[in-house]
Amino acid sequence: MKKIALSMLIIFVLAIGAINYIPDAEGTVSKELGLDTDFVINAQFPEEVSSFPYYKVLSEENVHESQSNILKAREAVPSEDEATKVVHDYLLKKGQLPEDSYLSDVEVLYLKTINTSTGQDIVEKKEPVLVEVSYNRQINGVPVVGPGDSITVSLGDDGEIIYFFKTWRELEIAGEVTIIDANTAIKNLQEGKTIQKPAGSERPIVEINDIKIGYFSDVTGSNQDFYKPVWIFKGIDDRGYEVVKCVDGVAK
Amino acid sequence: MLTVSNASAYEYSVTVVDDYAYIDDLTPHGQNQYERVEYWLHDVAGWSEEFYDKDSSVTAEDFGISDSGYKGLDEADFHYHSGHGVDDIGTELALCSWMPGFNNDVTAGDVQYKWDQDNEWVFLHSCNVLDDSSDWAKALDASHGIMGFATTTYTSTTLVNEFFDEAINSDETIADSYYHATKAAFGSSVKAVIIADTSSQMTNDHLHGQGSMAADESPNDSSYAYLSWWC
Repeated sequence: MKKIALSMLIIFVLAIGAINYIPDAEGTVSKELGLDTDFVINAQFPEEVSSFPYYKVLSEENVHESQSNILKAREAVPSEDEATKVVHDYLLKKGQLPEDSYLSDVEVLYLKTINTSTGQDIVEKKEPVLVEVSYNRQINGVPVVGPGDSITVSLGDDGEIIYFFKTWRELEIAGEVTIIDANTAIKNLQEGKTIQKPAGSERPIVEINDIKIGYFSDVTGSNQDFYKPVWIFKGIDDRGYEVVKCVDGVAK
Repeated sequence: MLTVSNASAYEYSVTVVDDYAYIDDLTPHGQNQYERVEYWLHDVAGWSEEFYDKDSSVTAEDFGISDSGYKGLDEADFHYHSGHGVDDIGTELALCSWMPGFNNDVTAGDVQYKWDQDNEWVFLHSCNVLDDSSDWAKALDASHGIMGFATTTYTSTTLVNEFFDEAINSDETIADSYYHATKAAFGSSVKAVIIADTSSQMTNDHLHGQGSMAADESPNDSSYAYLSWWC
């Protein structure tokens, strides 16, 4: 198995045309409600492989438990470290921490009161609301992106569990499929052939800084029968926000 | 706190732009989302539909930009909009003939201090718009709040279904309902934002008929309440 220039830093500047209508692509599950971007790709490529495992969906699990009025100012939410431990123990005790899950984020939400009278944003008050601990999925180390496999647990005062949401699918290996190579995936990305399809034309520069082969997990109830390989491109937009774009990885 | 229970007295309005002249279409997603709004607010909760405008019928006036005459979304209690949101020297809602640098849009300046009549909440199912939350907060005169996104977002009937299921079937607050709906609908790279004229409206408001709703801010000030999270 040869490697595609793992040691090289490859920069592609992919300028997408100005106003460019792009018809629906097969496999589009939803559409982006903004405009497309120009991409700067600044990342190493994964090892080249010709085939990749895919999985059959056996069942979907959707668990939602919540107190009322969870989004309000609080006084004694736990620290991020404390919250991480509390949630880990809570999920273990509930039997709700799958082996292929991993801790993906810990975030404190704040209710801010913002004053704009001077023409600038002045935060008059900043009160903690909750701490949320999130888990995502890796299948044998391969990332899964999208809303269909995730766990969020939110904690209020003194570490009380106020929100638990888990959406997860049971999978079994179904075989292997031939996949497209990285250059073809980038070409498809450039042409807007993404799973969640971009809509529009020229916009702020986006830097793609991570490229992996993985899986896209759609929302529960979407009748997703298989997890087939996708190319996952991660990066940032010009406002510094994270961007994740997926391209179908299966060769036709 | 004011609690009202006569559902037929409540009104909603909807604008959907699926068919764009120069940028990528969203067909049929906006229409599908509208049908979920109609199901929940009209069929389940018994509200009246003030208006539903789609594609080229959607005008800036629908967003309540006028001081007198037709007040658009400000003639109903709740408004839902689906369509492209863009950042074109300030975030804006793109109408069907939108092009970069040209009009055919709705900006925060268009609605500044304008929502002063019937509207309480506006749901902007569009990319980017609430990244300029302080500009859009100036629309909130008597109106209470706006739900939206600071980043790229996506069409989703799940978002609409989960929001109304929480708000109507479970009688949760508007903010709680939006929190759960965004968690259910999107992956981690989407940033949801909700703003309200006061923190009391943010934490207490329910849909009419499903629980309490805080009073309108009086007198108006230059402050607003802000919450955001990654989905």
